[in-house]
Amino acid sequence: MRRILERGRLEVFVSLGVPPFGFFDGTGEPAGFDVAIGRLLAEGLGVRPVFRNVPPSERIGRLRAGEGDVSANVAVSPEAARLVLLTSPVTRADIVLASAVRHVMRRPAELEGHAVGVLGGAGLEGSVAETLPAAARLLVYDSRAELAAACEQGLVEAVVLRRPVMTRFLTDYPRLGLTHRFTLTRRWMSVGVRFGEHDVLRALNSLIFLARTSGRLAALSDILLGTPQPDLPSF
Amino acid sequence: MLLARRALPALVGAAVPALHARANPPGGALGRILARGRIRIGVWLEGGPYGFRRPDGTLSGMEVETARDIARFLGVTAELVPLPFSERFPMVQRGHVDIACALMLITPARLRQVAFAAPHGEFTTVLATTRHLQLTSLAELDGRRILTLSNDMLGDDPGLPPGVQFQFIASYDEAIALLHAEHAAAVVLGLNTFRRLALAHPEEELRILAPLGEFRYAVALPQGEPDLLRFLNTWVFLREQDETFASLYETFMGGPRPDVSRL
Repeated sequence: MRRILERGRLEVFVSLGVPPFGFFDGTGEPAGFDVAIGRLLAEGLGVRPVFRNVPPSERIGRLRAGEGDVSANVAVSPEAARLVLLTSPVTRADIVLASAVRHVMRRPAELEGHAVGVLGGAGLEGSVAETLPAAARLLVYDSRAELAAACEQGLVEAVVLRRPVMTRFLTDYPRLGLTHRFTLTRRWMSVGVRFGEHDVLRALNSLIFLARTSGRLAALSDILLGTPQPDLPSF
Repeated sequence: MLLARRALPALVGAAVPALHARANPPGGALGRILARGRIRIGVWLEGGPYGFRRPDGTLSGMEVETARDIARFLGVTAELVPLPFSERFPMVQRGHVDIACALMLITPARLRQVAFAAPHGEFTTVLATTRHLQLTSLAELDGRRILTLSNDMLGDDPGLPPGVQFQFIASYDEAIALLHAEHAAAVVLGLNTFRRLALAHPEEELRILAPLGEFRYAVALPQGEPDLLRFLNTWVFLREQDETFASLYETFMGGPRPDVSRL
């Protein structure tokens, strides 16, 4: 905490290839919900936010290796809790499934024997895997382009993404002919902090509490994710 | 379900790159638990639905299953260590167990000895007597003997007359025997335990003389373990959300779980 305050900046790991959570805006600046959360936390600490664009699959590993200060967009899950400290949730991930018109899927059981593609990195793979039938195959990709290519090549027959990411994905890749089918599961999303840094964790939880009670988090969700903020619990 | 990875490995769980997986390990007890792949959890096996030993020797009960769930959440093996009720807190303090999940009632006195995770249950204690002792008020306990497993169960202001004598017991079977022999006038116990004993010993005609206290209970851990404490609070949060606690309560208590207020 002292390091952050003394150098006057909060280094936040975000992934800028996953709109609307993280992307480059028209001027080349980082934008999106995760970026807004980073700005909110840095502002609360009275320091400047510095965003590091890190692939989803590397964010927690590099944070643990001593790079950066915090990682945006980490699912509150047992797997993540063994690797980093987790703040109270800043939003909820509704994980939805889409499939091609020829693969009508209405419930998880119908994924039996099919290949399902997911973007790695937000700690959601385990949650998705838990909901799939035993004979389904989950393929993890690191970028939207790779996931789209896998759909085109027929390597995956269904795609699982967070709802706002799915909405953008379907809009950006209409040639895939994917249709939204159903909500697979829901997970709370938080900010990851290195073990041992409890002053940082406590400060971020206080700032999240203030942003939640002031309605600022709800406004960010409305504006940047296009979805109403669910009632956010804290811990 | 087969899980394959394309492109870069995903970041959470087994897919964390080995170089990074060793970086910034959790400190203290959480680090040691994850490194050895095993957690020693103190449990209490004389607690009726909270903890008991089945005829085949296996352990079960609401708190026992909760303890096993903590180990699953950690991804390690559970080593369940049965503890006498009176030894639950000292064994945590002395580090003989990593944590205890054994109806660890949160009281001011205990907060000075151990750290508590967020509460995962509520517990009401009552003072029970038998009909043949013919007691009708707390004042009649003056000069008489009350049985209890622990001072923790009395509450802040039980309203007992000053001349009450306490006798510590190891089990409720012992309490029934002492009440039956009129060697004691009443026993302190949980409301659920009272119901169970009343059904098991109809001949004693157990009845509630007075309510005593309402407590929250939580996993207890040694003080000075902030990484482990945060991990356990994350576990409580997720298990409240996915209704694991509600399901365990339904299984072992046979009814809907009451809301547990947060600290």
